[in-house]
Amino acid sequence: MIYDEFRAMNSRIVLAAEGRRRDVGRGFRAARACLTDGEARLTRFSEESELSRLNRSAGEWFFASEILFGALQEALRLYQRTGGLFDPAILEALEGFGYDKSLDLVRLEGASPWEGDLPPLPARFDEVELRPETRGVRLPPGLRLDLGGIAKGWLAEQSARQLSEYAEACAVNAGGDLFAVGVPSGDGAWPIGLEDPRDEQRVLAVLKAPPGAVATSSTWKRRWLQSGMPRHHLIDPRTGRPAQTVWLSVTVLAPNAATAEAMAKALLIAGPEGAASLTSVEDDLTFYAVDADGRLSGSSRAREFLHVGMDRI
Amino acid sequence: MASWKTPLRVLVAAGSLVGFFGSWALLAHAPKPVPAVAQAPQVEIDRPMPDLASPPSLQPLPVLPALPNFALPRLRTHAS
Repeated sequence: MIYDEFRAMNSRIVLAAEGRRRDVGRGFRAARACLTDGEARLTRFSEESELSRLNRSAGEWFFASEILFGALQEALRLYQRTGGLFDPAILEALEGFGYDKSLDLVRLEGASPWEGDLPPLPARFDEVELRPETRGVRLPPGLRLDLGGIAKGWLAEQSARQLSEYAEACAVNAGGDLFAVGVPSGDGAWPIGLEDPRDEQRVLAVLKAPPGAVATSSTWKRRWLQSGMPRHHLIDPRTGRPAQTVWLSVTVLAPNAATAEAMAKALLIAGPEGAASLTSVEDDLTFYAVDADGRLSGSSRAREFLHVGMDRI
Repeated sequence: MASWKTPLRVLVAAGSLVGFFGSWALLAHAPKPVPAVAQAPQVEIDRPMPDLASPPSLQPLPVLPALPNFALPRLRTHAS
């Protein structure tokens, strides 16, 4: 296995691939270009990004790139799939709670002060209009989006698919949003360490993940203080405030990256009580949850993907 | 020896007949067996029973002991 590591999207990116070294090197360059180009389009932290331009165009038709339009289509599907628990229209709330610049800057310069609860949103996310034939998008007036919820997973999948054209098996891990194509030789699955959200040096379990997506969402990693109050980045769309969760993190295995990422967020917000209504036996979806005491639990098929014994990790 | 053989045979045959007919009469008057389902207490079902399409329930899972980093996979979930 050949590896490459770098930073992008405010995260550590790990590329892994099997194949001829020269081909894999070309594949790594293609995957890296895909990630950096996607980040430039989908970040909300740059005024010049395509997403920021879309947010400024609310009320008017905007003609989107293939990447942005694809991410919006996926976001709309997942908003409906999760009953609105995954909602990209929480940007106002996120900024109100101090996450109005990259987390590195929030921690370095401090968060903007708390100015009180925000008025209700002027429209719902499913009122966004999409025209696939022209890739036209129209946001309702006053609505602004944050695609951070699925952008990393979406881009991890796109870049892994590009890398797979140069490799026999490969995986792209974009800060916890992982997408794998094929399986490593001599093994039927990808070994992936499931980190303890309280201590990233500690691995609670090793998953044997099939090709597809593995995404993790946590209320523990992206935290900061605002006017002396602890905040985190997971906004509960039902309250417009940082979610109060029983679990500290949820990891989802699913066939596609956007689904895994959105379902991890929705399950984390819903907790053990609401998890059953979000998943069903028809889903090709497995999840793992870690609580505040480091206890691990999972959905009915979770044991199938757990590495038992330490002999062949 | 032969003098008591015949009465013994008659005695055994009579005992068998008495046992057979006695048991028959006893069983004929005994309470009839009842199917197990009919004996089960009737339970009021006040909520729908789970079916195969019900959502999966959570199960506790084992965690690994603390291990050195080199023994663990390079790809990690690393929550965002």
